[in-house]
Amino acid sequence: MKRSNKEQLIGYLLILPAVLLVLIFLVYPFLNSFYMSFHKWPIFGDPKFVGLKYYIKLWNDDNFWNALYFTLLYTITVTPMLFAVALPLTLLCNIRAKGSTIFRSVYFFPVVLSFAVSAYVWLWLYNESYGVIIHTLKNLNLMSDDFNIWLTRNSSLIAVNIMITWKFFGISMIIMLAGLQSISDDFYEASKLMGATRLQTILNITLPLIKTSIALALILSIAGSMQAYEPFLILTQGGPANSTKSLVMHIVDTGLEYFKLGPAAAMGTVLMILLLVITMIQLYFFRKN
Amino acid sequence: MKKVLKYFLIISTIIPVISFSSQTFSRELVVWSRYEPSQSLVDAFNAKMEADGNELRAVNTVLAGDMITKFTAALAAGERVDVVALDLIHVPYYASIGALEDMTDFLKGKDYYNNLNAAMLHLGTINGEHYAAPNNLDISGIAYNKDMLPNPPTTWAEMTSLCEDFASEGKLLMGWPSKSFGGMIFTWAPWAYAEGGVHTGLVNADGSVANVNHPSMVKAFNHFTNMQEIGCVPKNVAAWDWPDAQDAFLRGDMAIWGGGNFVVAMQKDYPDINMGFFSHFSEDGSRKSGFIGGDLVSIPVTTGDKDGAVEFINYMLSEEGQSVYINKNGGVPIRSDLFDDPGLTDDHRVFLNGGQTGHVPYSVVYNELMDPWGAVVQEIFAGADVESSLNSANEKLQAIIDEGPE
Repeated sequence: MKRSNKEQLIGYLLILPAVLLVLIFLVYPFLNSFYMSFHKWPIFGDPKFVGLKYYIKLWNDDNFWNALYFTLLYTITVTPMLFAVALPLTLLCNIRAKGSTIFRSVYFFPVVLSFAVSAYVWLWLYNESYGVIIHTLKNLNLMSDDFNIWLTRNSSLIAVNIMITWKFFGISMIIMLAGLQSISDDFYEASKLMGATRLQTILNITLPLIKTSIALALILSIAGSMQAYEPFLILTQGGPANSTKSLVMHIVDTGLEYFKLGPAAAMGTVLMILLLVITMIQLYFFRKN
Repeated sequence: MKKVLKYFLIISTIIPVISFSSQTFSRELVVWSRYEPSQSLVDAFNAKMEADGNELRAVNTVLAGDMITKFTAALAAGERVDVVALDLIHVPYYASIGALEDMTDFLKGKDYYNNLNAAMLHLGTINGEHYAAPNNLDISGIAYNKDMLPNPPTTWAEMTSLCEDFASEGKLLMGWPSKSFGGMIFTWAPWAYAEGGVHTGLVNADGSVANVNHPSMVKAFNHFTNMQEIGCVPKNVAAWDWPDAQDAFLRGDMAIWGGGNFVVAMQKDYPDINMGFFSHFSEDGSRKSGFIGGDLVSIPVTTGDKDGAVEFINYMLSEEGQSVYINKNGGVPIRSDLFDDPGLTDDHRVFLNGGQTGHVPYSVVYNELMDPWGAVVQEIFAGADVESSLNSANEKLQAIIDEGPE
């Protein structure tokens, strides 16, 4: 008994640093932000309780709804692109052949690059005057000479989606690869014996068995997309005419540019609740199936 | 081994503490600046203090793009900042929330008080009390390529005529950074200010009424969208950012570019571009204008050494301090009595003259106003109707003004 208590205490002590970090950098800021959302919070002076004023104001705030709509549009368009690239490459990287490990590293490389560096590289690739991509497309007569990719919301969204897909498909790939490699070979041997084609094997054995990995990759991808900030800050600056301003961009502007901390905190809380609901729906769907 | 490790850990903990405490000066001023060139002024001040046997030393921190966020966080946390040089358009907000010390007596006691840039001084003034002093002046104006354009325009009609000539030859006359709200208010809006006068084109004199739909702004947008239609301005200028416009001019592909007095110093880096300069002008060319940009210097209420801060600012505004801006940084002085400094060239004087009738909007919610301003600029140059877009933007601006800061 005494030894068990001692072991428990050692266990608690070992996790204490991580718990403290979570409490200080996650729990406390969230609780503080939640508290702020019910107050008028000036830079100088005492906060003043305003109740649900900022939540009610959001209902009629066009900027908030436009930013939320665009963020959902971005999430819905970039997620399939990510998986359309990640899933086939995951299946390819799972092949036990010489050099497959090297390919896994190469595909994961964009993930470890700094986001700002990646964004500025793609900004140059897309540049109207100097960009390799735009220059090539114009030379192939696939684009008019006066085309600028940042001129419309749709072209801006496509440009950002391509960059994000290149940057982050590696994470989804690694997660699904881990799931793939936990599948026993017995399943594949059995399917071979039953005469299943490669496609039938993938659809009826591989994908169902990596369902939890796909679920995890999907949850992370959607949560990350809903909180998108840097791509739109660096590549589009929310333009043209605020049409690509994401919700987090709007929250950051409200809080750190306009110094309206109460309204920004309220929007942050709404975003968090939205993410929780979306995640719970996803988990319910995957568990049910 | 355990003993050796124990003593090593103890010594390695003590030494940094001792060495840190031995490096502090007896009287240090915490100075926060926006740009790297401010270091030359701080160095000159410290050299003077050392020569005078004064123990006061300024320690400069350059914050660049993070300036506003970090300064606001420092204020909220009560962190000591003795002197801060802020982008002047943010000063009304900080003065309105009581973040800055009163400098009225200090400034009015100076014999050069009436020579200080009035537009800059206005931004740091509430009810006649001064909370900031002009520090570093950045006036906008127009740079042009003399080889592409031997005779620059002097009226809007001449601009249109040149536009037709350039378009017929497939050349660019001008372009602007529509995607950059700050770039547009600095380098493009003064066309409207020159036409309509000061306090038009965004907000009125005290920032209480929005007027981005002022007739002068409508006129200016109509004029320049017409040039876009003619073809001497890129059709996709709505997507141009600051580097797009700057690069097109510095490559020699575009004849006219909106910039500031900082472009005068850039000439040595681009010897192939034979540059000339002129101020923004009204439709008939009779009135000039420019955006009065730059920094105001203030003493935050979190200062730990107000006397030292005043001494530093006194040096900044002195002839010696302003000479550092002119001769080391290639800048222009904020005192009109120093306009004859031999370090200033005729090119500098083009901007200084434009600055005499220049303008800078006063608003305590400036940052938030830039959102609808930036959006309406891009909408109009992407093809939206000028008047209805400006009217809609004006409603948004007024709603922001009416709500006020937090």
